[in-house]
Amino acid sequence: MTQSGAARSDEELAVAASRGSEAAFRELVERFERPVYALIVRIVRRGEVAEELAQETFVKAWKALARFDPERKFSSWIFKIAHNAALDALRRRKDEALSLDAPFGDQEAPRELPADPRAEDPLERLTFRDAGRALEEALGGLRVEYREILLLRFAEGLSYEEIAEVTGSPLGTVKVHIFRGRQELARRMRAAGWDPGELRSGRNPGRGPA
Amino acid sequence: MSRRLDLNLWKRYLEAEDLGREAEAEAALVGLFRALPELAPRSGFAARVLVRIAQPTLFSRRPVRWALAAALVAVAVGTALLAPMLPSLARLVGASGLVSALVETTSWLALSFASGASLWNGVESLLGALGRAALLPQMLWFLIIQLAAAALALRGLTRLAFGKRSPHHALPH
Repeated sequence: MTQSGAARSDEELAVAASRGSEAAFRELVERFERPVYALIVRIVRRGEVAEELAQETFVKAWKALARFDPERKFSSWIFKIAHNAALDALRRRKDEALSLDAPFGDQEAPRELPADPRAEDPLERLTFRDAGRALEEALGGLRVEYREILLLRFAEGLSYEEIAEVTGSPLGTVKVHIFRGRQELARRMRAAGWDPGELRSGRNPGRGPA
Repeated sequence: MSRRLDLNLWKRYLEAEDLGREAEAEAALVGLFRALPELAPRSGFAARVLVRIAQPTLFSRRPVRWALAAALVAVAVGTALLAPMLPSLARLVGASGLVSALVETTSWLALSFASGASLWNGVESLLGALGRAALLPQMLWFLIIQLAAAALALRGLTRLAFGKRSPHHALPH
């Protein structure tokens, strides 16, 4: 999330925000609203709940900014607040079983941004969309610990150490969860028809096994 | 960031996973995760957050601060009055010898503290009168109920002010 050039880094903005600058905090919110929301919604699987939790995350961050250490990465810090808020919500509602079949509740589907229509031709867009949805479904079927860690690692690009900091898990546990999560993800993707053999034979993946 | 999907990436990922080539599988997964639908909160999210942080907290309201202070005083006074009366309570409810000993010790500590504190002397006579009145079982029960009510009021106010959980519960350590 750190911006290049003349733009201030996340950590500099956090320091300015901790001194009372609402403009700096607003910029931080704008930088992190999508990744924070996307992480939370993929943990709790409910759009409206996720939006409320994402807001709560930023409000808590604002109140705690005085304790933020600028030597640490702001992204890890805000993801940790989001992680705690999402897991608390899951514990309170005990509705994780909801995620096993349907990716999201029909009434509370999150807002999905359209892919850039100029970037791909229609066939590519279709394949891309199918692949994304297959991956979303496969992720949704994983245990929440695996799902979250895979998202932090591969969608947000956090290092193993940063993930350990965010989740509060030992480094060894993080490595094991990433390994097992990857294995489970591959198994689920294969079950959904995304198999190297089938891809070679030209079958349309993402439509489920024959 | 390009959102094109290279199907070969899927093959490379699944094959790398099969062969246990971790670094290769991880590199391919980074590319594959770009295919995930990009999710966003409703527009105006940042503005809604800023509205929330601009809202005054419950403690910024004067009546709440007074109510909280009153509840704190009630708890303190109730505890101070009740402590010397605990032996009577122990006899009243037929407590065991162990409980009585604990209560006597607590009472002795409270009285020692009271007699040792010069500031306390001024109100000691008043408290003594109240204490004698409180020796009556009915008064003792009244004090217990009053203390419980004050403690509940304090807890309720704290929950109202900070939400259902501790204010720092979800924050990183």
